[in-house]
This record gives sequence, structure tokens and C-alpha cells, in this order.
Amino acid sequence: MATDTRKLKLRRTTIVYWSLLVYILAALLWWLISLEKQNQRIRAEQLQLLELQAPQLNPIEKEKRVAVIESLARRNSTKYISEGITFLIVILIGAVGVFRAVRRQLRAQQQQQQFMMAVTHELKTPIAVTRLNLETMQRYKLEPEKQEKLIRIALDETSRLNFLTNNILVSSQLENKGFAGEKEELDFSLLVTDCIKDMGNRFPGRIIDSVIEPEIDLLGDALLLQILLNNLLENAIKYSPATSIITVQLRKVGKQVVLEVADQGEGIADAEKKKIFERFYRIGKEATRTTKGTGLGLYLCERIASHHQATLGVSDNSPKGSVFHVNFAP
Amino acid sequence: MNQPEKGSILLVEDEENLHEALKLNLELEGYGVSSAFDGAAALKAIANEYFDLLILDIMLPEMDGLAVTESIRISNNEIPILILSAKNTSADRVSGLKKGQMIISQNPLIWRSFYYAYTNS
Repeated sequence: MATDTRKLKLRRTTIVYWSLLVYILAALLWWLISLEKQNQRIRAEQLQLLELQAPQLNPIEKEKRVAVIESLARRNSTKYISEGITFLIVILIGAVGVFRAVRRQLRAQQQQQQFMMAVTHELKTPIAVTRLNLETMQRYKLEPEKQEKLIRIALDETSRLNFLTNNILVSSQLENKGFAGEKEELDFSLLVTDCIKDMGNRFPGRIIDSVIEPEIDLLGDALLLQILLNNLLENAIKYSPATSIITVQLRKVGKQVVLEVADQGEGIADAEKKKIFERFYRIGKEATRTTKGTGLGLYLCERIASHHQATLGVSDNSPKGSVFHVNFAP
Repeated sequence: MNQPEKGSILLVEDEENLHEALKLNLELEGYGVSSAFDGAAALKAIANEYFDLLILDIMLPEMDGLAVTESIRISNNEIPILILSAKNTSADRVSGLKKGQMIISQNPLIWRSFYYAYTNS
């Protein structure tokens, strides 16, 4: 229903916009025509006046005056046409500018709204689960194993909530151009190994294969790099079959440090490969999409990568799936 | 599983943790609970078995809760349906009502009123 109202509003705005534009162009044309008509009338009247004065003038003088009148009329015509064209160009440039700005604004608004809906869902679910588990324990006397399980689930959900709020907070921090962060020399190999271990604990059913070159040091912000890797790993887990293998590689190529996360999911269409790093962008339409997410993860990864002078890209995995690679410049 | 005292429920929710928590609660309340994790499995279960109530998440993989409801109603099945929606937007509620079901929130407090309403109906 919200979409219907938005569509109706958009249609109304479009109609008003086009009507105004057509009106302005028609008015311009009408002015041009009436000025030209006026110009011709003045010319005719001046010629008529000249005819009346003709008996007192010699033919050479008369011809000179006719030439002046004709040239004035021509100059006026040229002036009206060139001014008209200038106005037309200015109006068209303005119209295109307004059209594009409005579309951009509407798109941003729509994405923001979708983001709010997605975030609401993502935040409410862990809260609902945790609360439900705590209430269950409060209301019933449960066997120790069941109680243990409910506590484990509640803890799982709070770490998920923590991950989500971190994403939201860090992305708003990174929006701020003055954000410097705290970079320090760190053992990146160790950081990647720890992240994979944590993810393995969170998703015990999933197989994460890793080839980590030891002792790769990097100047970076440990929290941000963890968020980057966690997002890539979460995506790989979310968008690939439960039985498939996820591969993480960390190595040095020359002086560059290269981190790769590969999955065996559906892969990403070429047309989507650039867009997925845009803020709030999610593949597919909101109405038909069934995977959950906020559209912040990859945007955040891209921001964190560029904060570390690294590039983030995606390519196709073979035989299927995607490989996300982060190249840290030396 | 214990013999259900109050009736049998089909619970369709793909979030594993939420599914488990809801299932445990319903079982502790004395309902018999069967599980489905997506729309297709839910439709299959409904075709094969009788349930007193269907609890359905609105956001499911491949086929969402509203589409599942529509399929059920098209096949003339009058099973009561409760939709779970974390979004709880008016758009969801209206399209849910149009398709012949009730929408409730994921807020656990509302579950109490659900128990009350259902057990006293």
C-alpha cells in the first residue's frame, strides 16, 4: 500500500512536471511568434509611412530608407530567434537537471525506506528470539539441557545483534569524511585465522577451508578489518548451499597482500557486479526478495577497504559462485 | 512427542533459532507442533495432514507467507492462519487480511494474547 501511494505521488509529480514543461515551451513559442508578427507589422507600417512621404523624397533616399527598414526587421527577427533558442536551451538544461535530481532523490528515498524495513527485520528478529527465550525460562521450569540450549541461542542472537549494530555504527562513522580510525601494525594472518574460527563456531555446520600464509603484517584497524572479513564470510555462508565449501585465502603477491573469499553459490550477474557495493543496494526486487539483509554489508566492506588503501572486487568462481578479493597496496 | 492436548499446529519459520524457541513454547503450552522451514514444505504438509492452526512467517525463502496463504485458500482449505511479521507494516496487515488471515507481531508479549485468544476460542 505504501508502494501504491508512492507510485501515485510519483505519477502526479511526473504529470505536473511534464505539463509545466510543455506550458513553458508553448509560451516560449507563442512569444516568439507574436514578437515576429509584431516585427513584421512594424516593418509594414514603416514602409507604408515611407510611401506617404515618398513624394517629398528622391528615389535614392527612399531606397536607402527601405533598406534601413528591411535590415532592422531582419535584425529583429534574428534577435528573436537567437534569444528564443538560447532560452530554449537554458530551459531544457534546467528541465533535465530537475528531472535527474528528482529521480535521484526519489531513488535515495526508496532505498532508505527499504533499508529501514530490512534493518527493522534484522534487528527485531534477534531481539524477539532472545526475549522469547528469556521469557520461556522465566515462565517454565525447564530441564537443564533445554535451558542450556535456550541460553546458547540467546547468546548467539545477541552476538548477531552486536554484529548488525557494529555494521550500522561503523558505516555511519565511515560516512564522515574526517574519520581517521586507529591504524596499527597487526598480524593480519592471525586476525583472519581468528575470524574464520569464530565464524566456524557460529555456523558449526559449514565448512570453511582456509589457506593462510603466516605472519603477514599490515597497518590497519583491527575492528574494521574484522568487520570486513566477517561480512564477506557471512555473505558467502548466506548465499551458498549449506553443504558447499567456502574457501578463504590470504597470501602475498609481490608486495601486495591479497585476501580472497570464495563461495559456490549462484554467483553474481555481470550487470550487478558494480552495483552490489552501493549503499543499501540489494540484488533483486524488494517485493520478491527472500534472503534477509540490510544492503549495508558490501558497501561497508568497500568503505573499509578504501580506508586501508585496498581495492575490493568480485569475480566468478569456477565452476560456480563468486570470489571476493581484497588487494592491499604495499 | 506427547499427544497434543490442545490441537496440532504447523509452524513455518525459516529462522532456525526463532523456530526452535516458538516450537518449544507451543509444545510447553500443550500443542502438537510440526515444523516446516519454507513455503513448499508447508504446502506439502498441509496437503498430507490435518492441522488446527498454521503459524506462518511472512518472509520465507522462495515463496513468502502471503503466497503460501493464497495457495492454501485457492485449494479451499479453511485452516486458520496466523502470520508472523517482524515488519508489522500496515501494508503487510492489509494484504494479509485480504488473503484471509490474521497478522500478529513477533513481539513475544503478543504471544500471550494469542494463547489466550486461541485457547478460549
